[in-house]
Amino acid sequence: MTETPQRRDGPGIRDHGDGRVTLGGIMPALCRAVDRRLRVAASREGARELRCPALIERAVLHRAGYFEAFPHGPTEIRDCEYSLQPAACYQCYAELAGTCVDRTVLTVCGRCYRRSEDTFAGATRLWEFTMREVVLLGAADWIRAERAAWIDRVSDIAREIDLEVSVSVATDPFFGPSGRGRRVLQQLKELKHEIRAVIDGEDVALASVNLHETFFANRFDLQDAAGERAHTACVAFGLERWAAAIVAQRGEAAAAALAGRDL
Amino acid sequence: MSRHVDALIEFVNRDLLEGRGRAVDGETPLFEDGLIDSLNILRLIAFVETRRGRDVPDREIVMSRFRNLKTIAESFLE
Repeated sequence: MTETPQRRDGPGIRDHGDGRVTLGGIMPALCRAVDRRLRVAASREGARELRCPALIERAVLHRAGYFEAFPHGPTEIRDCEYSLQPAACYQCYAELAGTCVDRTVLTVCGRCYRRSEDTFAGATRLWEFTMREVVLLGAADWIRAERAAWIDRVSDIAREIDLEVSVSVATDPFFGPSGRGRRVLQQLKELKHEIRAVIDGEDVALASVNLHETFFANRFDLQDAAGERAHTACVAFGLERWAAAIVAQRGEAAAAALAGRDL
Repeated sequence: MSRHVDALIEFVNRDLLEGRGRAVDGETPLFEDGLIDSLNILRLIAFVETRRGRDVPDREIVMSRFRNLKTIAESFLE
């Protein structure tokens, strides 16, 4: 197993090592409260909700180019055709494959598994975590406008609960073949933005807003209303990180109050 | 146009866009419609690095500097 140099227990966080935590105290309710708020935001934009299995067909990950972007691969399950999903949105593209999409908004929440972190710690760097995503599919102009709007929406939600956050362009490649060319091109085109917060002295991403251009639409044969290749984007939220940020920045008493009501 | 911009225009049109029926000038946006792909961006960076005699760090590869060939020349070659 991956060696964890330092386990980081915290309020309501029992760190078992290897990016596995048990949440107690106010943390489960806080995660639910954050997720309710995000679902409301998605619903206001007309999102249709899906619930997908955490077990994803490996063929879907191949079609999505996951193994080219992340050569170390997903968390595998032996002797079957499934992996544990590394992100919640892949199955949305598969669900819509071969269709016409027009200002289509989906939202999905699921357990996700990423073993790529060298240092798992506390509730901020987990092998197994919970991701809420909003997936946007449609024409290029609409996707660009929605990307900007979602950066504002996420920042506003953070401000509503008095979280101090920053928005920055991310430089890690998140789709397509790995390598410097893809990485610098994604960086140049500012395809990935992150909404980041400081949690116990560490600056971590609470959410990312990602443009894919036509990458997934090419892979999953998605057209827009004009018959052109569609564009896609996704907004991804790590619920445990949001809960940890609230506790770290607002304190346990304020976090407990937030956990007990709709945010 | 500076000699650096002229050299960049010649390189991009001759080496990167040859046969594609496209040509750029110093102010043509490079990344708006797939003009420069992930392979060609590396060739463009390598050309700039050779011309200035040192690497271009990844952190300096941002849109404000790579918007067009004029901004590349101003940021890295002049």
